[in-house]
Amino acid sequence: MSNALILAEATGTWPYVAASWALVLGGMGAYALVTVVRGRRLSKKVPSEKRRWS
Amino acid sequence: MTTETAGSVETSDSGPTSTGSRTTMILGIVTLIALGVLVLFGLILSPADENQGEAVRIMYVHVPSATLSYVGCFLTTIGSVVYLWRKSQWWELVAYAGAEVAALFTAFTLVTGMLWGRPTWGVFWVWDARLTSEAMLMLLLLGYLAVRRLAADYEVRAKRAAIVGLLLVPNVFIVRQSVQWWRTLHQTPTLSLSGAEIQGLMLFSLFTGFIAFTLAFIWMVIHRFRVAWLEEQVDAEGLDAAIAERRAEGVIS
Repeated sequence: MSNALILAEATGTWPYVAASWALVLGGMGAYALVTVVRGRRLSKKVPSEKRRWS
Repeated sequence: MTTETAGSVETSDSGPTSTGSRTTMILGIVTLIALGVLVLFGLILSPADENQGEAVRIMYVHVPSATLSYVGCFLTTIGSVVYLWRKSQWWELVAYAGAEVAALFTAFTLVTGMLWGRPTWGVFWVWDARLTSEAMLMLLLLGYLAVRRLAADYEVRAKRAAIVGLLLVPNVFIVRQSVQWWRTLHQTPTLSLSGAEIQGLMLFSLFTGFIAFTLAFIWMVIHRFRVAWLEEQVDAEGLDAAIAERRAEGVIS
């Protein structure tokens, strides 16, 4: 049995599970961060009366 | 106070300088708590599946991602219809925000699906009906976003994007029905109106996933809508400034 197969049997499916969760949660966090930063940058260029949520 | 810098108007008034509000802050905190509960149940407390083993834990992020991508598509199609009907900028921006967040969740669906496919089917990707139609949905969403960002007048790009937006819901219907209409490697729905194929902590974890992802989706759409609103305001200000500048040049010369 090759080393790769031994490693795959030992670790099972956890690497796939971990990668899926890390990707989704990390992706959400990154998108949220980018959106908030863009919002802050743009907010400085728009008068407060045009920011209806404020 | 307002100052002109590099062709744009910068304001330093006392109003909040972000897309956040009290409501979104509370929503964000509740979302983080829900995601924490999801991690606890999805990765630790829920049991492994008899057939799929630990790989079943991918379901708790994969299925909610797919569902929210469909919701985003519905939002975009509804926004597109209302924009074409009433020329409502508010609905057009809702459609735009929905499409971008839907594209994010569709990407999550595709990648987690591939990562789930490798240990269960032995391959990352097969060109079967569900996977292919989901990939088509991703391309449609990217097409919508590309058309929406064309260098053209707001009305032109909004109208063209809205026409693309009309295609999203029919495609979602094809994706949803693909496992019924064609023979495919992909399993039939885990949850349906007739009941659920899973029970106990596994079902609870999946519902927690739905709640946490729905909250995250709402938070993202609200913030993205506000960013899109600000982008349009900055564009309009820039255009007004450019027109005023040209007029001033005309008067001087």
